[in-house]
Amino acid sequence: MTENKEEKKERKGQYIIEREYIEDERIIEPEKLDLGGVDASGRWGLIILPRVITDFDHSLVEEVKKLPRGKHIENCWQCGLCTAVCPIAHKEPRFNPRYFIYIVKMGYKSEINKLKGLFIFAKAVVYVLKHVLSMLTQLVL
Amino acid sequence: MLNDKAILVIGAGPAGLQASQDIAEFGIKVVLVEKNNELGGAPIRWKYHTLAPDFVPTEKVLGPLINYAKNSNLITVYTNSIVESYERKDDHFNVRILNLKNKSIHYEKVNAVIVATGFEHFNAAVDPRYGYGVNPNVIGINELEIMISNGKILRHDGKIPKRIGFILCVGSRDKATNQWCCTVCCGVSIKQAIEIKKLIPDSQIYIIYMDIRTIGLWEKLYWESMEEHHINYIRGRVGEIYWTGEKLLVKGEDTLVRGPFEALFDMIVLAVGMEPGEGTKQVAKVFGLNLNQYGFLSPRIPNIHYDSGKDGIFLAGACVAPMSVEEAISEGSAAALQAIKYVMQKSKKVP
Repeated sequence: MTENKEEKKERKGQYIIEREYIEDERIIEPEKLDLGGVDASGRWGLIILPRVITDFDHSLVEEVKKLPRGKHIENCWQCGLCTAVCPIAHKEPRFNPRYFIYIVKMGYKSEINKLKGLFIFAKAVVYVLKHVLSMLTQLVL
Repeated sequence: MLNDKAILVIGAGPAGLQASQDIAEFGIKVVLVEKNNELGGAPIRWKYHTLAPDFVPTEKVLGPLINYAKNSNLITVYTNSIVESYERKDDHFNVRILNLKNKSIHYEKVNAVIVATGFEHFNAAVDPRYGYGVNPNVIGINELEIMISNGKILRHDGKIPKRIGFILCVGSRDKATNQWCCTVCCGVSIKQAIEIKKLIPDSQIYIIYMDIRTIGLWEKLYWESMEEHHINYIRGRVGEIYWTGEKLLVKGEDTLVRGPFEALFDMIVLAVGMEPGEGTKQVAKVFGLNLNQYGFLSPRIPNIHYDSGKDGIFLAGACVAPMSVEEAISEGSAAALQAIKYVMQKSKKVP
């Protein structure tokens, strides 16, 4: 019980109502902030960054288009078949290939940044799957 | 037998012109009444450059029809005119035609009537969200079509726009304005987007949609626009547009990302829908035709467009429901056949 409380204290912006709707990256809580003699540290200096998409940045999609298979990215019309058959998407709802293509195509940098770490997870799953598959094939053959 | 017969066609758009030609080729006289100065209807009045989905020049489709109506001995054309009233006598109508310009009045004796009064573009100023008429560089697809016809797409300050957004379903599928789908604006907007891309190759084009309804063979426009012309699609609606003094700040939501966006555009094109015009209302009043809840002419059975439910009066084209040019042309033909059939049946002296 006591351990749990300490854990909660460390969390940024813990006094925000409906905190779970806001990603950690959008909360700025300065450890030490002095505003002309007024102490605005911690929750007093809390800022929540807006989640508004302010621009379409097509530099990333241009890079993707240079890759051997990337040139077909323009053909994606968001049907969602890729997500439907993706085994990782069935395990982890945040892993949505259709969505990745869309945010790269539209250049939503803030959305892309949110997905850091997810790809490491995906790679791990692919690694496990590969090994499971090779084991299975060995068993079958 | 049919030499002394005549059929009145109201409206000289694609449907009315096709009906007139078909009737005249049967050797029956046609009285063609058009409210505007020129023949051709909306495609000519709004200078449609090409027609979706195959980029066929409008003149190629409508030119022969217009020339036929102008040159045929059997077709009497009244431009700038409306049908003011009629009188039913035995097997014919005595119609009174008023010229709106010189106020002259003509009388014609006809045996059947085809109503093909067409549509009007939705006036985007009615929906204040987009600031149409207030913000510079917020234009309708009809105005863009004129720009494409002239081969030059320019902002109000004479600069070439680099980032252009299309907002679909303006005055369509909206409970606050018009509830129906205009059926063609998706295809027309995508066609225009491709034409812009050809005129300004380094432009970025965004189509902000709620559904893409490129029905039938028009669907290829949708694929082509993405695969060959790299046009971007954003699913969502636009709530507000502000003029920053230099660019347009468009506030909307990308519903695929579930995130609001605020982005700057050089030009915004509103895909304004279709609505029944004053001409349709006026004709409905004169002939006592029924209107449906949307203001379009209501056929006796909704699935059979040509049948007005009134003896000797037939309907064709976009005055019945929103439709494309190709549909309007075939409806004109259908109504012509029905009118000819009606006149022939009446002329047989049954004991």
